Amino acid sequence: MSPFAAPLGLLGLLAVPVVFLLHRLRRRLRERRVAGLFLFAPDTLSVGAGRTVSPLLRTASLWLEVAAAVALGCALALPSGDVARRAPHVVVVLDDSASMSAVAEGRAAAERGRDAVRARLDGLPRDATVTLVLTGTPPVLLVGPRAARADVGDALARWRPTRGAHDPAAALALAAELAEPGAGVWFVTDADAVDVPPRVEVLAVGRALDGAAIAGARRFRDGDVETVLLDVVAYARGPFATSVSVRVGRGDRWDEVARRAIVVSPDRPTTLTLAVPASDLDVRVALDDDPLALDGDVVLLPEPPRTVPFALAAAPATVARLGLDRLDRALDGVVASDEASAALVIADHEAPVARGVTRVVIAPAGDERDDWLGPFLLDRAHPLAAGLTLDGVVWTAGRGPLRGRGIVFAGEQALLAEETSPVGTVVRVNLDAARASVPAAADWPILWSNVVERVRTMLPGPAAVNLKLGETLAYRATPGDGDLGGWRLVAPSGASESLGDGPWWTAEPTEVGVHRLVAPRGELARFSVAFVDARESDLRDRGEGVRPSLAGGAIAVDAPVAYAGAGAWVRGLALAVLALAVADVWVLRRRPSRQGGNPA
Amino acid sequence: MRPDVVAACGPYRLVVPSTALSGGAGDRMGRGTGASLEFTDFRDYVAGDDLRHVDWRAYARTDGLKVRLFRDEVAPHLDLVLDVSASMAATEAKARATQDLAAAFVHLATRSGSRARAFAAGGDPLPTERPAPLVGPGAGDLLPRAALRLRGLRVVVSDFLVPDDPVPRLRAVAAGGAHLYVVHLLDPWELDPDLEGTTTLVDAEDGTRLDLDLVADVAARYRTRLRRLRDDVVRATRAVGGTYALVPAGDLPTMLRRALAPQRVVEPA
Repeated sequence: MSPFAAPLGLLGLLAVPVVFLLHRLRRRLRERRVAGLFLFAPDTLSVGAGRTVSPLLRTASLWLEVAAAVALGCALALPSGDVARRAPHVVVVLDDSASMSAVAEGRAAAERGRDAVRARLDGLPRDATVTLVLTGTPPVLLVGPRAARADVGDALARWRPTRGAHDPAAALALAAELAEPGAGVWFVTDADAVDVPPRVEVLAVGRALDGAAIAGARRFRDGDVETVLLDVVAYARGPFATSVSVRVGRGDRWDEVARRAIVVSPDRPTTLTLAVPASDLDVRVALDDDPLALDGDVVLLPEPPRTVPFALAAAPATVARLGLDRLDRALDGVVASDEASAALVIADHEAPVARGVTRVVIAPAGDERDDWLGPFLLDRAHPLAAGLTLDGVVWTAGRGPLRGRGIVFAGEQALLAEETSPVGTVVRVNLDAARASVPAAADWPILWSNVVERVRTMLPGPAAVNLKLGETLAYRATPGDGDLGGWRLVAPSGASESLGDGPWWTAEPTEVGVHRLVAPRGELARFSVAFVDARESDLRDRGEGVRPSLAGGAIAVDAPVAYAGAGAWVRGLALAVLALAVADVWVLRRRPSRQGGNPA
Repeated sequence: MRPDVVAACGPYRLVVPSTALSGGAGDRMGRGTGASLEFTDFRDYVAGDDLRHVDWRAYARTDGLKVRLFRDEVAPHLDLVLDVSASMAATEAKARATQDLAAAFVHLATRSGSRARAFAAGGDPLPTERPAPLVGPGAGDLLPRAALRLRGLRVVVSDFLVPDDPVPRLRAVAAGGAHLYVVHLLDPWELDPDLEGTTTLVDAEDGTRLDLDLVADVAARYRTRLRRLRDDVVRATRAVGGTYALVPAGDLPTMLRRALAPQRVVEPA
């Protein structure tokens, strides 16, 4: 096994004198730190400038490079007759969008996709390797890369596509990176007209179907009767007949309490009102015989009471003039309280605000008065301005500055402002109650509804328990929640996500169904996440068929590979070359810079 | 937020396209019905409807409760993807510009009521309240490991000084978003290198050294290759319908006034 018997080995050993020569010709140039070195690479200096011949230094780098050259020569000299055939490799991209769960003739598109992939894999050689990629943002590597064919079965069986609409391009780009030249890339989806790169073969397993989806659902209690309000949309080529069932229960036990047959017009929401017995159990609303069960099955959890306690700290005459004595009758979810336990204090004078309290101060700023007819400028981004028009309003305000972030202005005069602090919030209404017409306008109850809803969002507990996929879940700690660390959000699949320390948590659930917020002392709240996505619910343009790759679909099964199956000596020497090279780089990087930084 | 960033951003706001947006309540038009003042339709009031949307004037006239439907108005989410590779700190000016731009985008979004998040390119979420260290490896993969929010605005700040094709990298970041801003940040020396003669260039990320004679011909060929790379990024940005802006590193007010505003990333507030 002499190196001189193999020409490549001889060439490899020539590297030894080259290493010595390079170490004699050392360069001494000024240095500059740059980012885009590759843009200069073709202009590497090849002659003269700045190069000097210096005595050979017996450095660690020199010996490492000589050893690497010797090892390289020996590795190249070894016979390579046992080079092996490369095992064929297939990268399968699975469309993980919810529409793949649509059922036609008793089978979901995902099941047809599974069967198609299994049938094709069975036709490959026994040593074929497979990589499974799920579409998504970001894409997910389900199996592999280059897993054994036997490892794919379980992963395929566990695959349950439930994501909202997304672009598969990221997953296809990842597949292209994982698939070396000659490897096959299959995209299993339910749309035959999908746009893919040329080397991708499309296995479309969808069916064009008519269906319906629940676009919105709410529940309200009124005494012993509870009302479920439902928006149903049909994605069909004509009127779509289905039935709605309402069940009450929790966990695995559900009792049907209402059922109604309906005919839904395509592409526009139909609103249904269903009365059910009031209970503290969950309400489950489902559309029967819908091809995509995911978008027609919603669990409505009982909304926990989020009553806003309010107190009045104003003169009785002012309260009567502003109609505030009727506040608890005009708005839902508010209750009169004393000032010490109120979350909302309505006053006609400034005072220190207690922790977690919103104080609304209704008083004119300064002693002079102006009667404003408009135009009024409203900060539409602020929730207190939602729904306000101020049409026809005469707003009598004081002429003076108003502390806080301005929300409503007349010219440069602020009429409504909000000041927030870590302690509490102060809303200032620059209004002379004795003269203004605002309290008699339609905007007045709207403003108070906005104030109450804003205070309600700051109350402890969950901000909302019935959410749509993509919405943010929020929870503010209550005094009885105990330790504020170690909280977890448990998804319907059992997957658990650790949340940071409180007292304010938010999360964006990615699964449909009932999620649980769990603290060390037990379950604190539940959240129901419904699937609402028209792009996935509309199955009318789905299709099936096979579209071959434009780059030629044959998977190479006999391409040789340089080191696969080569002897242990070759692998050992190759590793030695690599280790020596890494050590050389490490030694060189430890050398101090000659000039320090960049030239000015 | 740093006072100098707040002061520099004062006269500007983000240019937001009229595409399908998603986010919290704000001042940009969203996809569905919601809480804006752009009226779309009436329907009968049902229990549980928002009282703020009851048309009280119609009630006074007809004795029937009607609810006004409005277009949704949102402050779109903003996800900032920041290239935190060591190449962004190749010079002090570029490092400072990177941190300033990141703080400016977070501030512009937060000021308009949006929720802003920042991610390392190809990596994990970054804190928005303090500068991120620029010490990572090359930003070959831009897509963060955490999911970006659907229909939100996305901003990529990078020098794109890697030899990879930018099309799939930008497409991955743009997927599912409402609009993508690509901020191509380069040091003035990178745009027009000085003729420094024989020089050893040291790669900021992996320490690779390259000796060359930096004369007029070499600089001209470098500028040609840089222009091709820039054209690739422009083409990739257009392919995803995004907005491209080339920004020479400098102080923040200058970058806003001379680069981001003329290239329609920000506009006068």
